[in-house]
Amino acid sequence: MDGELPTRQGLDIEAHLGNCSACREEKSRLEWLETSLEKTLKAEGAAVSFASLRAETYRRILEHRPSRHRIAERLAPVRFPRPAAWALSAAAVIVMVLVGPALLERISGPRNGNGAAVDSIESYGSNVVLFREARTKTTVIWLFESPGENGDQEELEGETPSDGPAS
Amino acid sequence: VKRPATALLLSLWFLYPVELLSAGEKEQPGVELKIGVIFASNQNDEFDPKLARMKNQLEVIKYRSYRLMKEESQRAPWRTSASFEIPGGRLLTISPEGRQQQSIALSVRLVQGDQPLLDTKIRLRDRGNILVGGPAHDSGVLILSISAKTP
Repeated sequence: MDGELPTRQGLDIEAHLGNCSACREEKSRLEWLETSLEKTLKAEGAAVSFASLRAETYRRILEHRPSRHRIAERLAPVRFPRPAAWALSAAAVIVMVLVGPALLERISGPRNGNGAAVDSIESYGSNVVLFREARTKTTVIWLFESPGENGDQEELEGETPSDGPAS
Repeated sequence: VKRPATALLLSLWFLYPVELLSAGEKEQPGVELKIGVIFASNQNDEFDPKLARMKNQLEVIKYRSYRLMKEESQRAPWRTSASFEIPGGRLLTISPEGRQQQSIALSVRLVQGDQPLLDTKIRLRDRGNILVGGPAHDSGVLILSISAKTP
């Protein structure tokens, strides 16, 4: 119809149309439709005014909208993320629920402080001091030999500048 | 990742080993006992970086130098005991006696050869520790950090 087919194919179709009345009728119908559309567009298209459409589009672009509307539009992708994003977020939450407490405990140490209680001590003749380090609440049991028993008081004192642990 | 269900399944698949590991820990009964043997002296001012987490705890014990000699962990079922060799021919035996509220009751015994040095019953916070110090060693003393945690 529009001469767009390759020469050989066009000649084949022309030959076929010479022998097939049904295809000739279909070709005529298509040619009539094309001609009619062309005539109508030429006749009516010039009358259509795009000025109002253009003006309305500019008006909408320049329209001052409340800031909440603009924020809502910017947040739209966040409020309605893609389903995959939802799934990944859910997975992240599950990971935190499963692993988070244990991880936190490992990092921060005992959950309720480091307090220890000593119910009984038997030091078999050695002296024993029990005290608690204030900042970390660490309990310390300190053993030291009785100075009177083996007479090495001076040696013991020489081992620590402040006579062992402070109480 | 095109479909949310696929993404979720993939995530759960990655989580599966984590959950298995944690389930495995839960199945192992008893207490994980950990000791640290620290050598404290006044020979120099060196502070072993491996003891950084215990610096605040050790500050109150007025020595100039601290060095981690040994660290060992053992899992002990309830009412059994775990023994740890301590330098100087000593042996530390710890028995988890039971759980009392948020604490772990332990029986601790330190011996040197046949000679008992200390017998004590203590209650530790889960993952907390206690220090036992004083046994002489070379030109300083030993400090034992005993900690316990349940799975």
